[in-house]
Amino acid sequence: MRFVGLTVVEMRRALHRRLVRWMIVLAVALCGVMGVIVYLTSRDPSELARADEHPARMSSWWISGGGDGILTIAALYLVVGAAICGASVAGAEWRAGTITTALIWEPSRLRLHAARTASAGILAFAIGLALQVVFLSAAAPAVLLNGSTAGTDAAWWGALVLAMIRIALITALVAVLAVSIATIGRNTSAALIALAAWALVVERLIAGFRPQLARFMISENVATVVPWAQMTDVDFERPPIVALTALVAYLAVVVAIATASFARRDVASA
Amino acid sequence: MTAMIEVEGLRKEYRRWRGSPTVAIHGLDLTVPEGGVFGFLGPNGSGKTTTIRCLLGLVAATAGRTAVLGRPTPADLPTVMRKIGAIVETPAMFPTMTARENLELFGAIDGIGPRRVEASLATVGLAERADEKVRKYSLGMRQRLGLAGALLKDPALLVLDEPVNVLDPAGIREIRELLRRLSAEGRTVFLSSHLLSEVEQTCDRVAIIDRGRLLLSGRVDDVLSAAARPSLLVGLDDAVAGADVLRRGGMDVEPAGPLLRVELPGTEAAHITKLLADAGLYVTELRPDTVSLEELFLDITGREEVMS
Repeated sequence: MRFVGLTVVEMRRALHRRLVRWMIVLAVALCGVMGVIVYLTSRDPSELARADEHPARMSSWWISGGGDGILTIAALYLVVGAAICGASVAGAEWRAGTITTALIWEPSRLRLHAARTASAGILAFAIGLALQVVFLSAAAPAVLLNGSTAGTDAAWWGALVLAMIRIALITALVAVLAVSIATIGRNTSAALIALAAWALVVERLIAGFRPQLARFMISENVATVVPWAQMTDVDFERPPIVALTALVAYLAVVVAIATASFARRDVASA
Repeated sequence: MTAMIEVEGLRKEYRRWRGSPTVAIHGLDLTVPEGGVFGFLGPNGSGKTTTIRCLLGLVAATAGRTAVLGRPTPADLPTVMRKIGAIVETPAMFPTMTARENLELFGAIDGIGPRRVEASLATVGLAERADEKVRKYSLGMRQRLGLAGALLKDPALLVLDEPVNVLDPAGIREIRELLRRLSAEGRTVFLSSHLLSEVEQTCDRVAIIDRGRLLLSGRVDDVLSAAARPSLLVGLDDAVAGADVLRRGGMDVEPAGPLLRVELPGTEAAHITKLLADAGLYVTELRPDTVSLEELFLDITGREEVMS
């Protein structure tokens, strides 16, 4: 019971962070802008007919098996946002010194860290799912007024919902990863730099110079899990379930290191 | 008497990447009995905060044993912490929340309801400003909020690290009265401070540490009377003539500001007044030469100035 209460408290604290709130507000605002653009660009039926994919045609929201559709844009924002917010939730504790206050109230470091990690994952999943709904809802007026729902049968709806759940799951995994790295580094910026350097530099270099190792990279596994399909234009085979298992395993290792670090190191100056 | 805090052979080293480790605490022994206000004195960097952080499990001791409320720490902290209210340095609260929200949030961890939150806010004089964001609070108000947080659990033991550091004189006085009141309710207050006069006025017992070592510990009255010199301070209109008279009477006399210090136990006061009166000199002031905590501290630590 105490763990559940602590997790709820950690979620409330995370939601009170200005950065988290601003990222949500920015996401909603961008959804609104996207909705207006989709509506305006779909007013001319001939132009809409010429476009290969357009969000005013509902079937373009998600294309099963190809990993394409406007939902992938939302996925990119959610992954970046989860990294920033996750790192901030953990890193700011050390900068502000609230970690000392938190440990005075919950001296069990394992419980506190577990609650914080769980709260980051749960919140990121819920926010990720909610923002995808907002994102797609913003395109709904264009669909209803200018576009069409052709091709959106039950199977398509099922695939869309599963894709949204997978994107929310990846959002949660990234948030937990960011919390863990910020806990190890005790710093928001260091965590973000480490994450960006790993994803944008280290993994690209490894994939470039050692293509046979590319299937082990986080980016490649995420790109497999989101569409739940084998990546195209690559020299390796990676079934989605293996990619998801790999991501969870990587995360488990980082979480374990973060937990050990948090449990053992002194809180001397915060 | 039950010990609320026990420290035996506590040692804390901070390892460095290069060079030998920094030793913050050198085998500290300390016992804080139940009840009263216990002053934990020492200059900045003497190891007070590190000792408190060890007690609260925030830093791991290199060696030694600590126990709080009779239970070993940090092993049993999750159990005993529910009876301990603590603030360490300037308490950090969540700035985007109001004071009330902060306390309600922490209270939720231990199932503490809004009534207790209100009572704690009222106790520290923050009830009327409880709905302001903490980021708008002054340092003194944050300190009070930290104290309200410490009181929230209705603790048997309060561990307060420099609780009056940033308060103005009126605030210091309020907190002093509050601590006395809490002590009178049967709680034990462990108060770390470098404000010597404050500790002297507030505490029943005191321990003085410096460079991570315990220099002295005991009841404030006992400590001061043990350190007091067996002499009397005498005030006279004509101090020079008075000194002459007393020296002729076989006493050791030296000037002490506008007064004379006479090396005699307090029981000999009548002898001094008779000698002076016989010489036509009348005493304007006569009192034992007591030692203040500040003087005692400077004496035993060998420091020229009171810290900070």
